[in-house]
Amino acid sequence: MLKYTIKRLFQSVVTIFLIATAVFVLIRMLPPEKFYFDSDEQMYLTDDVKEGILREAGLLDPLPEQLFRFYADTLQGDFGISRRIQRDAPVTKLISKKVGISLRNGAMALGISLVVGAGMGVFQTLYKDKLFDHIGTGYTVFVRAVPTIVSYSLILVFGSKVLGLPSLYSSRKPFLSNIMPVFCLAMVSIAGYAIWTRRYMVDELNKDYIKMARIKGLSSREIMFGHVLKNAFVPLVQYLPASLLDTIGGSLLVERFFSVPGMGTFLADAITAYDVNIVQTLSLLYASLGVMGAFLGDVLMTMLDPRITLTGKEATR
Amino acid sequence: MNQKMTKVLALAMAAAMTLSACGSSAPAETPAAPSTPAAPTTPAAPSTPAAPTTPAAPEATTPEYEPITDLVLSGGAPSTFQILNTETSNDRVFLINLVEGLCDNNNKGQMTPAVAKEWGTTDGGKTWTFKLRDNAKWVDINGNEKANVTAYDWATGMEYILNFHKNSGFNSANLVQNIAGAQEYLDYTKDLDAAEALALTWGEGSKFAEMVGIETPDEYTIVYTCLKETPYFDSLTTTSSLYPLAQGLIDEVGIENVNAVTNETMWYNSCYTMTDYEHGGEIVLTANPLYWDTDCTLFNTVTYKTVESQDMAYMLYENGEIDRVSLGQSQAKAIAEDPNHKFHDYMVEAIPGRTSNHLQLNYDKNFPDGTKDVQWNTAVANEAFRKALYYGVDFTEYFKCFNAVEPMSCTNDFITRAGVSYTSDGKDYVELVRANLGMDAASSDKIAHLNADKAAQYLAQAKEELAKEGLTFPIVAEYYVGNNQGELDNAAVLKQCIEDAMGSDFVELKILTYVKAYSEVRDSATQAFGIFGYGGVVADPSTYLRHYLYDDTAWWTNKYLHTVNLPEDSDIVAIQKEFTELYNKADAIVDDNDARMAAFAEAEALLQEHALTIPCYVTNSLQLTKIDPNSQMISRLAACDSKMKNWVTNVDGFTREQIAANAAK
Repeated sequence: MLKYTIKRLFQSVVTIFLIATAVFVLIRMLPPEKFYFDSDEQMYLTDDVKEGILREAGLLDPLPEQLFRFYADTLQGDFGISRRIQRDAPVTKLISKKVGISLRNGAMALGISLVVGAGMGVFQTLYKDKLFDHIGTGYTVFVRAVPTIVSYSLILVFGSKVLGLPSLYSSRKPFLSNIMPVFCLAMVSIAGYAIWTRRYMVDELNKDYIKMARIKGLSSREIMFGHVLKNAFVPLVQYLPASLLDTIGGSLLVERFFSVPGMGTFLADAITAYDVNIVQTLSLLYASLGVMGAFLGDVLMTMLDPRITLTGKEATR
Repeated sequence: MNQKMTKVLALAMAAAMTLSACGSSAPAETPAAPSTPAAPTTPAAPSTPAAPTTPAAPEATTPEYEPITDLVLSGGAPSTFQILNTETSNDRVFLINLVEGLCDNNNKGQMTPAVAKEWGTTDGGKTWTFKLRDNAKWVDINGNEKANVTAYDWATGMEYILNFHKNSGFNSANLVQNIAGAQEYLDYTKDLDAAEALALTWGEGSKFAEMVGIETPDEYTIVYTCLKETPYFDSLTTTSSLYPLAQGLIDEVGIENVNAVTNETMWYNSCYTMTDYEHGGEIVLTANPLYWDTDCTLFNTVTYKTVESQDMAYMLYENGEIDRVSLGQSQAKAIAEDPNHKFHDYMVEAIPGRTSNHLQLNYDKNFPDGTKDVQWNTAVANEAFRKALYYGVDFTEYFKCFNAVEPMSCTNDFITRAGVSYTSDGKDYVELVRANLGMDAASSDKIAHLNADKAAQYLAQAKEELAKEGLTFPIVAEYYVGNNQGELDNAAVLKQCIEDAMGSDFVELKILTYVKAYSEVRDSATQAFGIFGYGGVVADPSTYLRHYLYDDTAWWTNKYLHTVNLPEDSDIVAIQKEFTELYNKADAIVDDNDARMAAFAEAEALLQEHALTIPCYVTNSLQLTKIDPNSQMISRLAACDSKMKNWVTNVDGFTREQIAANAAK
């Protein structure tokens, strides 16, 4: 296990390093003035002054020199300053504010979707082929089939016109204005957790050890909660760390739609504005989150189910 | 158990369906719901403008409608909180409400006092003296007093801009072009070591005081010395380059962090402080309790919301969640065509744009592979071809893309924006250009510079001459727009306008899209023409005309016309050289404003006579609003119409009729 953990950690670091390097090099292939001056500034600054600014910012240095400086700064936790989104503001400061908002909303949505979705899956299994199961399946099909932007629009119209909720996020009314974004974030995940919980539980119910348990006289409740749910939950668990970490990244669509000032819209804004340091930092962050999520998921699964091994000839994954 | 659950679910579904039904049947036939008004904030302190210049008195407007006290607008976010570091409209929309300069404009575009209570020149504009009021204060985000606003803050601000290591040369252009010694100081600091430059100040005995034309004889007097007589210098004070910076702020945050100030650390001296800021979320401005003008009307708070799309903004306006929405082309058209639409009578024009947009012809066009587009370059060098465009292309349908109700309000017949410069008897400068060109008077049903007879004559001449030069028809004009449906739709209308005038068998407009920014096309010179404009910087025709000088530093000449690449003996170059001569002659007249205007009018007329560039439109878009545009400041120069002072509002929204009646008053 330790060997596997070290190996995976090493692979993760290399992956992150390669992604960071690729993003850095690709961005540097653009002419530096693209992400340094807007059109008004180009009009009013002389070429001499522009060159001076770029030189001072180190953007005219050879690429390897810039890259080395980037690595050194990154290792020290210095991700530079924003040039376009908020001039001269440290990137870490800008990101930290947004991480909090995305994490809060994402964690709430994750909690809701886990409880409601898994609960729905359990009840669908309990009442398999009955009305509740059909309603649950109907909800899942609806959520998956209708484009999310359409669902969000319906929720927005219903929430704002009928329930009188604020249409957009407001830092002065955080609770009320977060209801619709969190619901939208949770809506799709609820369907996901419900369908997978139901599927794994139905699979487990058909296994021999359950038949044996019934023969031994265990009650349905004992079988369902003592064995089926526990075993069905193991495959779902591996996605939890990634889901939780993903909340830090925010949701581009939901945040843009409800004007939530989180991380989801930030990368898109930074790319649009050519804010190079923010793009680099966010790419690094997202790469790290993705890699770490997968890694932690594997580790968590082995902890919950000792039958799963990750190393050696007998490795099951 | 099963039965119970079925009942509960059935009830829940019934409730949800009932609520949904309520939603769909909610009446939508009334204008946006009125918000609950409270007592308006009325900071007050009378300003008394005095000699030598007699600035226009601020327009005090008596509220006749139920006013809004907490305004909500849609908008973006500033990219900086340091006004000295930006001149872009996106930033100034916010920053002019937070930091105040020497002068403002009133709702007629005249200069009014801000921190300066009086100003003037006694030597034809070489030196300018500004007397400041003594009750203006710097405050922090919570409105707590930090310091008095003094003349020294303007000297500090100017030193900051001109010190290359402090502001990287940003915003230095206006100062370098107008203030004595500014260029020399910028160059001097550029050569210094960063630490040495950062330690410099403006004070007595400093290099700055020795080199740069700004003096502060006392706490409340500033004397600027210009490079030459600059009769319009006071109009420059509304631009960011002549804004103040408090030394106390520098001491507080450190010189290296002045550009990195946030809404929490900056100092405020204008009518609001920014009490909440979330990029991509909400921005809240709160009335500054220590603002010097205690007689003016301010909002208690102004909230800016980031809105994802125009449709969303429209819905928010309908819900009463925002107080103004700009209408897109399709929205405006739908409302205009339906007399029963709830907003039919509520569509009003926004403040016209500051830019004078032209069809900027490219005289040295390339194909994307870098080879010359000989067909286009030959055609555009032909004067009859250009004149056929100038006299023949009727842009009326194109104007409808911007204003479906009164398209002709977008008409623009000149290079210089109307409403920028005036003669001593109050005549708009552009009327002198009109007289020089013998152009018809402006009318609401026709673009004045159009002339069907001349258009037909020049078109025939162009066809003949270009055929002789071996060109094959149609001549393809590659026109680039952004890759979005709105721009593509507008381009299709423009194509129709041009092909109707020139004949699609003679000129074919090919609509292409750029990937990210127009500069991709502009820098590679692959556009046949583009429709662009610029806002003026000072109240003088030179602010528009200098872009066309035959000069390596003339940005427009270099970036759009590309005439600097033409052979020296080209006809276009000859016109530009003649224009440059006339321009320089006009610019040398500093002691007689009328003579100066007349001379510039002659120069401008020359460009138009030869159709070197073709005036096209000014933006005059439509909106639904609870703010009377008549009460907003107007300037054809720096963006100032967003300064939310003395705005007249109506919780029920304004009708077109009400706005017209208020304008007539």
